[in-house]
Amino acid sequence: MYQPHPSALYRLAQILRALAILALVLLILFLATVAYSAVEMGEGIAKQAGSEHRSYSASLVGTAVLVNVTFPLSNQGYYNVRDLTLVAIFTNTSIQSAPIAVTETATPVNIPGHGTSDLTLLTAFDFANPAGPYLLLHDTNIAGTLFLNASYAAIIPVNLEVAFNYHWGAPFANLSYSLGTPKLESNETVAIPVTIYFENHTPGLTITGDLDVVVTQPNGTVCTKQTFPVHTEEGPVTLMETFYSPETCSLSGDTISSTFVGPGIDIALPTETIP
Amino acid sequence: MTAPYPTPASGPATPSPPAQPPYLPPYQPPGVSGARIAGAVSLTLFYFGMIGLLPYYLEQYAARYGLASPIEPAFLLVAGAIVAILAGLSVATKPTRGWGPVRVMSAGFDLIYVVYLLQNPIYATTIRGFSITLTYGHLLELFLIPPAIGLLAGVVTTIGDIHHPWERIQLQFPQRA
Repeated sequence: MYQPHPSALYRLAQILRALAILALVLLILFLATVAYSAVEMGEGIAKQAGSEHRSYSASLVGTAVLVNVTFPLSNQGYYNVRDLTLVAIFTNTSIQSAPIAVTETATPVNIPGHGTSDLTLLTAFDFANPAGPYLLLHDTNIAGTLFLNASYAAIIPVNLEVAFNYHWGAPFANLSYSLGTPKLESNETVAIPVTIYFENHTPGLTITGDLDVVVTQPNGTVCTKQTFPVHTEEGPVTLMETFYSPETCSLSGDTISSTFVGPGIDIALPTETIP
Repeated sequence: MTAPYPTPASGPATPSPPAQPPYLPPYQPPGVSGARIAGAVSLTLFYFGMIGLLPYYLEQYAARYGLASPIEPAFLLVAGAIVAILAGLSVATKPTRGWGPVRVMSAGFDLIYVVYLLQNPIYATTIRGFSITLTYGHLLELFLIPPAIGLLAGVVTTIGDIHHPWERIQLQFPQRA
């Protein structure tokens, strides 16, 4: 069959048409594999969410409780999840208008295709905040919002927002001081049996340190000061000790305050007035 | 000298005729046949199904599960119909010099369609308390590539058809003996 020699324009047009078709086919294949991978990854995460493979710990540091949650996140798809960051905001507007705690992943996490990476969220509930005195003594529900940002298959930014409810367990829940009947000692001092009771409701938190208890008169004069060593895991704690104060201290109307101190820990507990 | 295309047989004593420009008659362009029109209609219907109806029903299906899309379903149908008609027209006009301009129109509309979708490339939904936002702008930007190349191909084809009339048609639809 006769075939004349085609011009450069004809050949260029042919090449461009072939390129356009090739690009479209590649894009459709890419889109199909992205969709398939996303479904695979979603199913993997859903399965993982049902199992308890996360680690949790809590510790007292400075004036705060640090809650550390680490959980694995698997990616069953073909494509990488890159620059994954988590931000969690904890709010309870009834006790503090500003967020009680804000936390985020320290560094962005990359999860390769068919791989797993650990995500760590370190949250500080600082008792130096206005809500601190309340959180020290009271369990409460805190509204949490988790923001997940990541880049999927290199070109698809994904933002996930999850609202959840966080049950806060107070480390010094139901703190109370009970004073027994004062007894006059021979050396012009009064012996007062004192019982301190609280419950550690913070899961995974071991409280180790000293509870410095001070009884102060309204004029600021310190009647007595006593230190209670504390070492407790989750649960109720009862500390019983005898205070010795000068006979001049009436106790009624005085204030009793305590500070929990330990290595790197200094937490002032709310003050109570002795009836 | 041999003519670039077959010429009627001539006697040995006859001097060679002056060289004729290539790709001119006696080649007879095939024109738009009934079979081609049938093929074009079939392709139009297929494209409309894939680009218009399928996304329309997928969106309706997803809406039942609370997966709202920022794109109006009616827009998907209308845009899909235009894409399909232009694609069919492209098939129908291939053996004519109108093919280049039709290709330009077809690829141009595809580009406009993708650019329109790029105006709001965010898909946000809530499933069981999870708010998910997908930003597919970069993915859509990739879908600008094929129509952009197609547009260029259409322009080059149009220019080629102007500069070398019948060349493309003769190459793609050779004269049958």
